[in-house]
Amino acid sequence: MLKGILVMARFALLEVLRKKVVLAGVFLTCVYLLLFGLGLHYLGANIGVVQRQLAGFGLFSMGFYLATFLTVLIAGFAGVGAISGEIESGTAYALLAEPVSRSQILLGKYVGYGLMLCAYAAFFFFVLWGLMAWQFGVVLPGPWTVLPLFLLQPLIILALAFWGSTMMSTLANGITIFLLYGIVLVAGMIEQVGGFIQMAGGSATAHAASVMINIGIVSSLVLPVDALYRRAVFVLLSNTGNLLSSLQSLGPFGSVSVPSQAMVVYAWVYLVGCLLLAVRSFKRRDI
Amino acid sequence: MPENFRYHDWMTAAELLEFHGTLHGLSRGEARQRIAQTLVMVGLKGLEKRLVRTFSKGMQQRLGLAVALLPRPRLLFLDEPTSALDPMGRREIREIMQELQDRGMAIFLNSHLLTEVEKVCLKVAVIKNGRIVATGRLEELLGMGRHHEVQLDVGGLAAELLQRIEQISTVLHREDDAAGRSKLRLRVDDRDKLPLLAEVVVHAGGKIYNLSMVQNSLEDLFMELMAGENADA
Repeated sequence: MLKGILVMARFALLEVLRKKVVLAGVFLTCVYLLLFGLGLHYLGANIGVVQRQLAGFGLFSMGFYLATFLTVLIAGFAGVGAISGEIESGTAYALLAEPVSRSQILLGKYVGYGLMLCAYAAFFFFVLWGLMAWQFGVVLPGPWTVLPLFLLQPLIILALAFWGSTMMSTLANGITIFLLYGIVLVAGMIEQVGGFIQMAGGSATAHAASVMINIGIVSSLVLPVDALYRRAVFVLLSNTGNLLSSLQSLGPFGSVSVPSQAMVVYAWVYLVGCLLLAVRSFKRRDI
Repeated sequence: MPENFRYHDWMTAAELLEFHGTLHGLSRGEARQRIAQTLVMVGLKGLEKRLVRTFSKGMQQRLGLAVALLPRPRLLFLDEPTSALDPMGRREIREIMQELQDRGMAIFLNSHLLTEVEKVCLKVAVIKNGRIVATGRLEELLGMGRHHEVQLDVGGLAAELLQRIEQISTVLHREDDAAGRSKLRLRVDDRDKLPLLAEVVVHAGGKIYNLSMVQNSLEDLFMELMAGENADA
């Protein structure tokens, strides 16, 4: 079982490298990081402490949010055609004729793409984190706590895309995954607004705040990606000695309503569940 | 080797073969050795480093055969290996199959191209609606049709002789030439009618220039077995 998975994982990694996906991705990511670093570098030395902190942490929040968005996007693109693409192109027939089970094919490809995504996301995260320390002079706390949260997001999207790929065409799966992700992002922002209203207090708005927060929680149960981002950004920015941390947590990229540790556990269960469903669905599919 | 397969065309021929070899549990060393051997067998030696996407359809079919041969199978299943190939490509694949046969490998060939089957197969089975309706050695099958066609070239074909011939057989076609000879294509329901035909002609004063069975083709047999019903064969 394991050998077949490893052979397929190696195959998936070779495919990604050969199709120049990594080359294009790393190049454009470097451009992105360069711009981010330049932004931090030129954050006015001549402006006041408050303004500098506001701009610097704001830039980091936005950069981190977009880094999450990009890694998730790449995971989605990698996964939507993982199985359906093989079937649509006819390469599945050549694979399935070999002594390798469908679960080995699926899990092997997942491991291959997953390793590639983890390496990419870890690189992205640590360069962002390092630039904050180097160019802004702030060592953000808990990088090793945040890294799994950051990696888990593309891995979940990848698992979900794999599952969809066993049932739908590549196009239909892509549309479903990206719309679902968009809905969850919006629901996550609604939850944050709800958290802000709740924080502002007042019994008149309590019900509205509660409904808005629940929208976010339910959407996180449907796809626990935004919740992981909110928890990650909370860990990174809540204990920085930033004078304006409370103010920044209220922004669209901040985290007022912080997801619990239980949500993180749920996210791991969700990932494993998606993979098991993907294997089950692929095994049952008539090709 | 499945029908309508496609290989991952971003790989080179050697990478593809190594990948499939490792799926079969071959070590890297074994795989390399077998890759060299199978590429020679299918006539693709020297093309190891070429990308699969640059291969013609016929070359890809041959590569498919190389993949199938990697684990040294004693029985090889080939599903429509010559479909969608031009005549040259078909011949190439046929020659490889015949060479493998000569080496003692058993090949199970599934094909709708019956002329290919006739040229390659020793034993044939015809499937109709999922059931085998005829099976056996090719020459046995070709002799098992309900009717036999006979070619009779005769001189002095008078009306009375023709009438006697028609009592024994059905005249499918008649062609007379200027020299007074007639070429008849007849259908008889029993091979034993052949000597009877000869006797009738000679007895009526006719001259026989040719009396021979027309060999049925597998296609004729197939059409006969499928006749009358809609069937998946």
